[in-house]
Order: sequence, then structure tokens, then C-alpha cells
Amino acid sequence: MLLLCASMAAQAQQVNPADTIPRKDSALIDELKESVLDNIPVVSLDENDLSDGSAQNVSSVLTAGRDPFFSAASYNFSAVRFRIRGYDADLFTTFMNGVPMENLDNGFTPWGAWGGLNDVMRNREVSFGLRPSTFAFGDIGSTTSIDTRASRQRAQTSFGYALSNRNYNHRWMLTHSTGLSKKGWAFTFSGSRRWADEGYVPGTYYNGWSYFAGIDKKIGQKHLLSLVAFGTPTENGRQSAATQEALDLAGSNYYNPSWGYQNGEKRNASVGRSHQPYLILTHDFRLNNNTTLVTAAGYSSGDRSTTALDWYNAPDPRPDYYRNLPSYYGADPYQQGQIEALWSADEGVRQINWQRLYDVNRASWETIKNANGKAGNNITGIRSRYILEERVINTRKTNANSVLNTRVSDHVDLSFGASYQSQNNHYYKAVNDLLGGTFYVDLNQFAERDFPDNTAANQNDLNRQNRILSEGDRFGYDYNMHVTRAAAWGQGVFKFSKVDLFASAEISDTRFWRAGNVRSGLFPNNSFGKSEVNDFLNYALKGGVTYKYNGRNYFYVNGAYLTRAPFFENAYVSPRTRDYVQDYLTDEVITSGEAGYVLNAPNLKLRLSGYVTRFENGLNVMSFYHDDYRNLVNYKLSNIDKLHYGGEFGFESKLTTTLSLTGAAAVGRYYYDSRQNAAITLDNSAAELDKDLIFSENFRVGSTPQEAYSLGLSYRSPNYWFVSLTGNYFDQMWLDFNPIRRNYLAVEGLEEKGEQWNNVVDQTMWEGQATVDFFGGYSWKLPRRYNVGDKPLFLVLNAGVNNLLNNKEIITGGYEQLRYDFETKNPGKFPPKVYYAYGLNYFVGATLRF
Amino acid sequence: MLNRSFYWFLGMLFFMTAGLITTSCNKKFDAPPSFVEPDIQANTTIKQLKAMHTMGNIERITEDIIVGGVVVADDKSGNFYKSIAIQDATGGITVRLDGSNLFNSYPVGRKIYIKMKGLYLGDYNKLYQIGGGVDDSDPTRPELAPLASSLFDTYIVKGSTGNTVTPKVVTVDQLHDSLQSMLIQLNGMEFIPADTSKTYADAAGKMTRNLYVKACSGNSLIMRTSGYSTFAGVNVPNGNGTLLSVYTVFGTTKQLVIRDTSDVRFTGPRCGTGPTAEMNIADLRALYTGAATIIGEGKRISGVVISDRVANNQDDNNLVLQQGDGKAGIMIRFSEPHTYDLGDKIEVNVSGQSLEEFNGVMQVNNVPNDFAKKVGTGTITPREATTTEIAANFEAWESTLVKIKNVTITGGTSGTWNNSTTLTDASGTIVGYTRSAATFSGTAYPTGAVQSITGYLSEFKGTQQLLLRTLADVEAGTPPPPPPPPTGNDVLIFSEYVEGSSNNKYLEIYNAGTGEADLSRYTVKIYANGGTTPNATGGTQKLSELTGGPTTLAAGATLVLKNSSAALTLPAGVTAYVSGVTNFNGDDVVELEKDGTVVDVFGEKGVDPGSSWSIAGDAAAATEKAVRRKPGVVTGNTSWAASAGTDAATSEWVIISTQNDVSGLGTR
Repeated sequence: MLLLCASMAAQAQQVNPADTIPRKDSALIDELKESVLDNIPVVSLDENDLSDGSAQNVSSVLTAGRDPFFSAASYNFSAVRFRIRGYDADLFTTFMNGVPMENLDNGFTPWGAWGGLNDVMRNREVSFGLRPSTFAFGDIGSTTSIDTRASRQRAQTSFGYALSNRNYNHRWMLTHSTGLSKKGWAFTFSGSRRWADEGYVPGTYYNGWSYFAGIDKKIGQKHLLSLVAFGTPTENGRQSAATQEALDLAGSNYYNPSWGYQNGEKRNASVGRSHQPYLILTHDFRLNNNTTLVTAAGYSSGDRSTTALDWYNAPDPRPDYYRNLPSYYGADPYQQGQIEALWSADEGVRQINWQRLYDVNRASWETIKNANGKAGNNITGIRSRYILEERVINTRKTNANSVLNTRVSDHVDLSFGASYQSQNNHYYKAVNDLLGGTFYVDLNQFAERDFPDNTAANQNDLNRQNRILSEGDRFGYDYNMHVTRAAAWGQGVFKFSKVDLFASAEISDTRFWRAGNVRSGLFPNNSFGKSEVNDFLNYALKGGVTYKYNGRNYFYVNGAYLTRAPFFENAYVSPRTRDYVQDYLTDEVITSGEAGYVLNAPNLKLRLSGYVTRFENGLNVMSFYHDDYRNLVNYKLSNIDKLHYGGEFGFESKLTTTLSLTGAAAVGRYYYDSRQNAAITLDNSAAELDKDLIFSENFRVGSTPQEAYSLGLSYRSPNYWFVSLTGNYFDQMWLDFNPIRRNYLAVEGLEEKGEQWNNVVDQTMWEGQATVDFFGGYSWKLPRRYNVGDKPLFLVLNAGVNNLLNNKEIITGGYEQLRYDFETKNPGKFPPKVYYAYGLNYFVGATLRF
Repeated sequence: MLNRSFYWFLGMLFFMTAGLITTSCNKKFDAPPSFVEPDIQANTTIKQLKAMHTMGNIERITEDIIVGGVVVADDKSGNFYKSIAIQDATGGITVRLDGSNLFNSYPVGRKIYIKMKGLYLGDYNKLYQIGGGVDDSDPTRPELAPLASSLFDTYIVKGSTGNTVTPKVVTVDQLHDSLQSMLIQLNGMEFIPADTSKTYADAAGKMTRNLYVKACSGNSLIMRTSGYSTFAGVNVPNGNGTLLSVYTVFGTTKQLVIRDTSDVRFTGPRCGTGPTAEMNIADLRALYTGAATIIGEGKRISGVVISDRVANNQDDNNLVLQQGDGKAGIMIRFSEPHTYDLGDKIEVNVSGQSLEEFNGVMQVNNVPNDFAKKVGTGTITPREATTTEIAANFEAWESTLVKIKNVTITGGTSGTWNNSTTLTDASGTIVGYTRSAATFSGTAYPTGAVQSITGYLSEFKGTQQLLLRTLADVEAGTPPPPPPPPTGNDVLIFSEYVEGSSNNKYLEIYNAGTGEADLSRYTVKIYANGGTTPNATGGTQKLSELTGGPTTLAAGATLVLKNSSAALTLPAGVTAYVSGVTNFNGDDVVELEKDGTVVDVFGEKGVDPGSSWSIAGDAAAATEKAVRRKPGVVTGNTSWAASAGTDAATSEWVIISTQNDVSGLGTR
């Protein structure tokens, strides 16, 4: 255990004494690989998920250290969105300088908030699975601590440029750290810009800036005060998923329906913007040689947003709307053929027709009666039918955390911690661009259609009726979500000559509530003001045993049992319109166990492990536009049980002093393990339309390969260069299933187990896929005459080519549309929307460092 | 060796540039250019295009045909769905487009050009349509499919907006297939009474509804409205006015489809409800142009009915109205059977009505029954004329009463009046016509000359005719037998009975004899509700003991009794005297005694008929009405059954249905 801990500490410092590349460039490969990850756009699996405002969110496994399995999982499997153990991102947590960074709304770590600041984010400590950590109770996936304090940054200056063909093309990065001065001061500055006029996917663009400043003051021998501030103002044009039919017609798996030409320039309707700066203050107090107390407070405030087209009583402007596609005209082959030909030949048809939107708006001369809630106030002008709306989430987070670590004896380490987190998300829409009109009106057209005789129902805000909107004005929904979480935990690690033991426990209190800022015409009594507070008391336990056969062979068994409060986005049925929550807000119960074997020999590192995790009583809320109801429909899903089990294997073998072989395999099975309960409501109505039993047992958890394999060969020259070639294979990739197709009504009248019945019910699995990746790098210490002051100047070159085989058939994400034609029972009417992994893509960089 | 400060400079520069660009990078997109009129011309008219279509077929157009038209109907209100209507100077056509909210691109008033090559022509049950393809989902019944939304811009070129189309003003009868899918205007329209309380469509059930509109006269027409239209739940306006709509057909059914409620400008008074001014019937007749002529608003005529409904020598819906002695007359044809009797004075609102000739007879056709009302009674003295004079003045005298003297009757059916008879006087002949349904059609006409024949003039396809009203119009050749000798010098009878609203009850007694009556010999008694003894209070009235009343009644004079609470205004100079015997309700018996002997009755003593005595077949004749003794009755009748009769002909009484009509009191 001591050795294991030592090895983990080594990981944390990114030091590898055996490395032949000079110490200061040891992170070269990691840096290079991180750049790969940086470039993977995030895919939202929920059509209405607004939480992915920034495109540079990356999968939460950007935490790999030296564990050969996790290293492979992070770097080699990331292109297909491999998720360790099939876990959702909320089961991985991250701390920075002692402050919890995860979002309380969904449990995700906002990686994008420090994208492009790779230089200052390298000091990491990771605790995988159920193993103990010294800074938190942790999540069952992994728990990461990033140390960005100025005094922990290497005193150096680096300036780099990189060229890529991924979602950005160019990156500049400049970092300067002073190291700790004799007077106890340390400073770090870092900044970068990443941009692309057009990324890998047509119509996407990228414009990201990053800044970071850190200041440390050491006071005496016992106190270290640290302050860091950073932010990443970013804007990017996004990609939208499309059906295979549209991709085929467009002749590219990277067809992106979210842009169109405006005055000859590509304009993207889906623009993500984000800037959520952080401020973290940390006090590190070394009481004595055996005891430390780290207390930290963090504050963050900022917006993330995405734009989208909104329209009022006008045709759907999205080019790939299903009624625009040939498949909608199955009964009319003549027109179908024409549409096919048109789609293939005319890019203008496949993309947004901005000119038409402007034309429609300019022709829309209307009078709004009783405008702005004033009777008799009639306003006449050009009322936009189409606008670009901006869906904004303003987030304010205040976090405080304190951790005490003490070594009681050679055999006993104790840790205690307490934290308080508070998050206030403000959700609203604002008019971004009127597209040629002079105003828009704050009305709910769905309600207007459903309640034609009710003049109040279509008001988004009864307090300000028929409000005339200009650019920048808020409209539609407008509400706040407050979440607080208070927790306390304790842990004991007991070390003996052959056996190590540990036990941890945490108790937490989570509260959340909604506060509406507008009074909806549909739910006047449930939309405005503060809702009831939902309060959850949870506990978590974990413990484990490590048996040290000798200094190289370890066996371990760990277990955990915990309850989790639901996330509010799975609790509120339709927070945009009202404060209704699921009928039974229950804790999710997680039981997990893992066991493994670790070999740590000089020329062979190996880990073999197995795990079983069971999730019970999960909740989910899905919202989507339903063609038959002509309305937004909300599915309240409850009783979601999942069973994940599998094995993990990884090794790194030095064949010679220069050549090493690495391999990893993850073979798991992730099942939905219960028949879920669904209750269906409309956004516009309190009435419950239907209660359904979803026949979801033994459906697969989607959006991750359940099997992934890699084998790589690396050559490290003593002359400071290296190359590596890795082959990967992925299989058992399932498409997340749509519950509305897995109930009685969906197959009513079909021959059981017949072809169509199977078409409706069966879950889609994509074909297995293989990729080959290349990495290479060279570190050149320039001749002495180039020294900067007394410091030598290094030129570091690196290159990575992913997917050398240019395989463009790898589906990395997608979703079954939450639509189903109950009349024809033809699942092909609303086929799944998918994203493909990039074909051959590269990243080439040069960095000067001194 | 590079200076460290150089790197610092580089760094600062970097951050400054970064800051500058971050703050200035959110530039607005250049707005696309405004609409430019396309360079395209139509080379085919819509009429020519429609001529290429054979009903029931679906034809693909293979030539380079371009039609142009202005959108006259779009889907903004939801009453048109997935279709628009366009028209040019030659006609209109429906364009089926597979999309919603089409009005954003193809609003009313936009000129569009359709490149027809590759599109289809078809019809939906005879309504011409342009479509994009053929729906073969049922191969036995291929259907024209709407143009796919992705192909709109392939085939349709958008032209200028804001074009106004002047609706073609037509009448209901002028609607024709050439007007299909065009914007038309119908004037003077309103919803039929059965539809006035309805909404345009069934909004709750989302069901289409057919409503009927019509002009003040003429046939009604379907207005068809979708249950999905935004105005489906709106109540229809109940006035009269202009109607704009797109003309469509469903097979042979003509249908109007409105764009929205602003097309229905029914703000004026409904037919016949506006203020009217009296016009002479002669002036009315002069309006006739030779074809159906709509009479202007605000006109009414009045006159006396000179046809006899009861004798039935005229259609149930018809009456002949003459304005006055020596004045013009006209036939009124109501939309339903009427209730006006010979001698009724009526007013007819002819606003917006249609003046027509039917088989040569001028008539105001299809008049709603509630357009006429009785205002009193009157008599017309027939114009005495020879057949030759009649022939010479026929058009002017049509539908007026004439009397021809010394007439010999021939023809008819087997010596009866039925069908055409020939009436011959000294100067010539005229056809006498009696329809078989007339009560007297089976009656044999007198042989030999009669003193005179009276009737109104009519025409049947060029044949001038005289129509008898009743047999009373025939004045036989020998003098009529003298009336039965009076039983005394003084003969008192009941001559009028009024049972009006509330206590407005009157009883008129007439001296039909030749001498003055001594009223002390006469007593009136009332027997209530089947009773056989007079009412205890005021049930016996000695006529000489009326308070303030006379003791004698001259021959030909009347004596009017009234209820103590009666409050109607009697004709000038008429005095009514309060008496308890007027406390009748319609089912009570009133008897007149002379010297203790019953000489006349109203009702049958000891019988309770329920609510009213039945007179002339009218079971409610004695309540809320007035009944008058026919002028020919000069003696009392103690048999109530004989007196009441079973129909108008057999009864001694005439029923005045107008409540509270006291115009006849005091005179006979």
C-alpha cells in the first residue's frame, strides 16, 4: 500500500524517474493527447438539454495518470466517447485547489471552464473507482484533484502554436510562472486563443480565449495563501445531429443542418457562447508534520448560452425537418425522386435558407393589440416570424470546503472534511436577432393553438402581457433553480505489513427549489415565485481491503453503498412552465463492488479488475416536441434501475529500454434492469395524459462502447523523440433507447415477435469499429546561444494523427428521436439522429519553453 | 541570446490583442438583400391551363408552361389547409402545397409564377388543382399529391407582394365553374335564420361546418368552414351585407370559402328589418326589366288581398294584392304557405326581393313569410269592364279585380268550373280559370247568362285569364232570393265577439231588423265553463239596464258591451258599456234572449269545450281573437253547431286572428 500510495503520489506530480525524455518534458505525450481530447465536441443526448452550452466540454475521463488501463481509456477510447464502467458523467468528480468544481444541477464537471489552460492544469491527483482519496469522499467513477496554485507551477515560460483540423484549427498558448520567490511570492499567468473559421464539420467555427492568473503567498512555514482566477470566453458554431437519410443525401457523415449561407457567408444558427470565470481562494495550513488543514472557497458567475431559431406560426425553418426529406413522400415516388435529386445537388436546400427567413419577416406587417399589457395600446410594425433566440443559463456558484488530514500513527491516517456548495442557475431566453423584423411578441404559440378562446393562456408572462420584444429582451421562460449541498465526511486508512484497510463515510443534505420570474398564462399559480423546497438527506459508505502479497503483487476488494438525491433536472417535470415535480422524488441507491489484481514490476505494469454496480430508483425527465399533440411533451421516468458489471485489463510492458507495448481491454455489460414507469404530460397542461409501463428490462445502456480494446507500440529514442502507434477496436455500441417505443401502445396490433414488432422494440447496436492512432514528439534543447537569461531554450515538437485509416463510419453519439408514429407504427418515420467520429484528424504543435 | 523582456513584451502584446478582439468580435451579420422582382413572365393564362385538364384525370405538364397569378387565399386563418388559391384575369386555380403556415411565403396579394413543367393538373371532385405528384398509396385510386415543401422554390417563383385583387361581383345565380378559386363578392347576403345562432365551425370538435347564406331572395348557398380555422368558434354575424369569398365546388355543389371573418361584412340590417318606405305597386311593377330584378332596400307595398285562401283557387304560397280601387295589383309568392284571407289589408316588405315573371304573371318571388303583416281589412270594388277593355289594358290591370257583366260561361270540365272556361260578354271572351284544387272546381257553373262575374286578372304563358275567388263572384242571372223575412221589426243578433289580451273583452250586438228595438225586451246571459245557470254575479244583463246605456237600438245600429277592465281604444265615436256578461274566456256560453226566449247563441249551453269554441274549423277561434258575424247573417241562430260551422265557408263567423283587433266594433 505504501508503494501504491507512492506511485499515486508520483502520478500526481507527473514524474516518471525512468523516463528518458528530460524531466521537464515528461508530460509531452499527455499534453499531446489532451489536445486530442480538447477537440472532441460534446454531444448532447437530450434534444432539449440546454446544459451543453460550451462545445469544449470533454468526457470526464480527462484524468488519466499512469494506470495503463485508465490511460488507454482516456486517450485511445475517447474518440468513441467511451465511458469508464458505463457510468454517467455525474459519477466522476473534480476538485481544484480544494474546491469542488462539479455542477450541482447535473453532477458534471465543467471541463470547458478551463479549456485551453492545459499548461497550468497538469498537477493532478486521481483516485479511481472506489479507492480512497485524501481530499474527498469522492464519486464512484473517479475523483480528481487539480492543483493550479502558482507556487506549484514550474518556474518557466512557454509559448506554443498548434495546428489542427478538428473543431479548431489554430491555437496559441503562452504561460509564465515565476516559482516561489524568496519572499514567499509566486505568480502564474497563462493565456491562449483557439480558433477556426471553419472546423472539421462544415459550418462550425470556434473562437475561444482563455486566461488564468494565480498568486501565492507563503506566510511563515505553516501557511500558504493562494488565489487563482481564470475564465474561458468562448464562442463556437455548433453541429446538430442528423438522420442517416439526411447524411446520405448530403453525401457526408458530417453534414450539419445548423448553418446556411447569408450573403454568401456561412451562418450558423446554433452558436454556443460561454464565459464563466472562477475565483478560488485557498488556505493551506500545515499544523505540524503530520497534520494539514486545507480550507478553500470558490466563486463563479457567468453565462453560457446557445442560440437557436424560434418561430411563430411559420413553417419549421430547419432544413432537415422530416417533412422536407424524401422519406416523407414514400407514397409519391415521383416527387420523392425530385427531392432526392434536389437534396443531393443543391446545398441551399440542405442548409438553412436565411434569405427566406428575412423575406418572411420583412413581409410580416402586423398590429399587436393591447401591446405590453396596456388595453388599447396597438402597435403596428414588422413582426418577426423567425428569430434567433439565445437560451441562456446564468450560473452563480459559491463553494467552500475544508479538509483535515492527519497521521495518527504509522498505521493510521485519518481524514475529515466538510463542504458547503450553493448554486443558483438562472434560465431564460433572450431575443438574439430579429432577422429583419422590428419586434417579436412574448406569446406561447402552442398554447394559442390549444386554447384558441382563452386570451390569457398564450401569455408567457401574465404580469406583462403581449410584451413587445426587441433584441436583447428576455422572453419565454425565465426561472431560477437553487441548489445547496452541505456535506461532512470522515475516513480512516489502516496500514499493516500485509494488509491495508480503509473505511469512509459521508453524510449530506441537498436542497433545491425553483423560483419563477414570470407568471405563465397556463399555470398562473405554479409558475411565479418560489416553489416548495425539496430536501434530501443522504449518506454514503465505502471501505476496502488490499492484500499485499509482496512489493509487486497486490490484491484488493472495495465496496460502497450510497444514496443520492435526484438532480433537479430529473425532478422538475417542466421547469420552463411550472414547479411540478415527479410524483415520488426518491433517492437513487447505488451499490458497487470491485476487486482486482495489480502487478507493479519494473518492466511490466498490469492491472486486472472486475466490478459490479447496481443503480436503483433512478429518475429522468425527457421533453420533446410531439407531432400528434403539436406540443412539447414531458416524460416523467421513474424506477430506473441499472446493472453494470464487467472487467478491466491494462498492461504496459517494456520490451527493451526503448520499445514498450501497452494494451487495455474493457469488457462490460450495462443493462437497464427494471421496467420503468413513465407518466406523460404536456408542457401546456397539468393533466397527465397517460401512465405507461416501459418494457425496458435488459435494454443496454447506450452511448458508450461496452467493449473496447487497444494495443500499442511505443518507441522512445534516447535522443529525445518518440513515436507510438496504437490500434483500437470498439464493439457493443448501443443507441440509447426511446421509451415511447417500448410500451404496449407502440406495438398494439402488431404480430408479437414479428418483423415489424421487432423493428419497433429492438434496440439498435452499431457495428464494431477499428481505429489506428499515431503520436510522435521531439524535444530539442537549442544551442546555448539561444538561452534566455541563464535558462536553456527548448523547442518541443509534437504531432498526433488520430484515425489514420480515415474511418468515417464510426458513430459516436446519437439518439432515437423521442417521436413515434403510433398510427403506422413505423419506427423509420423518425429514425435516430447520429453523430460520427472524425475521419483522419491531426494535431501538430511547436512550443518554445525556457 | 534573446532578452527575457522580449518575451514579456510578446506576452503583453498577446493579452492586449486578446482583450481587444474579445470585446469587438461579436459583429452582426450583414442582413440579406431585400426582395427583388424576379425576371419572369407568364406565358399561359390560368384559363388556358385549366383547359388542358380532363375532369377526373391527372395530367403531368410536360411543356414549358408558366402561369402567373395573385394569391387570393392563403392559410393564415387555417380555413385553407395546405393550399392556396391564385387567380389571373382569366380565372383562378387552387395550388396544393404540402406545408403549413404557407402565408409567410405566399400571403394574399403576392404575385407568384408557377413553372408548370413537371407539375400535375388534377381536380378534387371537379375543383381544379395544381399538385406536385401522384399519391399512389391506393393504386386503384391515385390522387393528386400536394407539392412537397422542399420543391416549392423549384417550381414557384415569388413575385411582388401587396397586389390587390378586385373581387368579381356576382349574384348567386351567376356562380359558375369559370369562377372557381377566384375571389368573388356577393352583395346583400346574410345567413339563413336557422344558422344565425351558430359559430362558423365546430371549434371544440374540430369539425367542418356548412352554413347557408342567401340574398334577401333567391337560393341559399353553402359557406364551408374548417373546424381548424382560427375563427371556427366565432359566432356568425346576423346582419346583411357584402360577402367576399373564394368560390369552390364539390362535385355539383357550390361552396364558398372565406379567408377569415373580415370577408363577412354583414353589418347592415337583415333583409326586411330595415326601415321601409311605401311604394305604389304600379311603380314596383315598372321596375321589372324583363329578367329577375332585385328590388332596392327599404321598400314596402301595401294593399288588400283579393285572392281567397280558403276557396283555394290559388297556390298556398301565393296571394294577389291590390293597392286600392282602380290601382295596380301584383302577385306575392311567399316562401311558405301564408295565412292571409280575402279582404285582409297587408303590408309587404319587398326590400331586396326579386321581381320576376312566372308563366307571364309578375310576382315578387320567394318572399319570406315574416316580410308581410296584416294591418287591417279592406274591400276593393271591382273595376267594371268588358272583355275587350280587359284585353286592351291587360298588363296594367293584371292582378286587379274586374267585374264583367252579362257573361255566358262555356267550357270547363263537364260543365263545372274546373280548368279553363270561356267567359263571353257582348264584346268578346276571356278565359276563366279554376284550378282543380279550388273548393268550387267541381261545382257546375250556371247555364245561360249571369248578371256578372268578378275575379282577378292573371296570365298563363300568354293566355289572359280571370280567376274567380269564390262562387260568390258569380252573380246569377236571376235576382237572388230575398232574405228570410225578419221575425219582427227588431232583430238583434250577436255581431262581433272580441276576446283579447287580459280583460280586453267585448261583445257587439246588432239590430239586423228594420225597426227600432226596445232593449228592455232583450237580455244577455253568460254561462261559464259548461254551466247551465247564468253566472251569479253579473251573469244576466238586461240590455236596457246598462249603466249609462240606451234603452232602444235603432235598426242597423250596434250596441257594444265591454268588460269593466277592458282598455283598448275603440274606433272613434264608439262607446262600449260595462257588463258582466263579457267575462268570457273563450269557452263560455253567451246567449241572447228576447222576452225570455233564446234568439241567438255564442257557444252551446251545458258544454265546456276546454279552452275555446271551435269556429270555422279553428279550435282556438274564441280566444285571443276577434270573431265577426258574416255580413250576410241577418238573423240569430240558436244552433251553435250550425252557426260555428266546420270551415270558413260553412261558418257564420269570420275569424280575425290579430289579437286585440277592435277595429270592427261599432260598425257592421
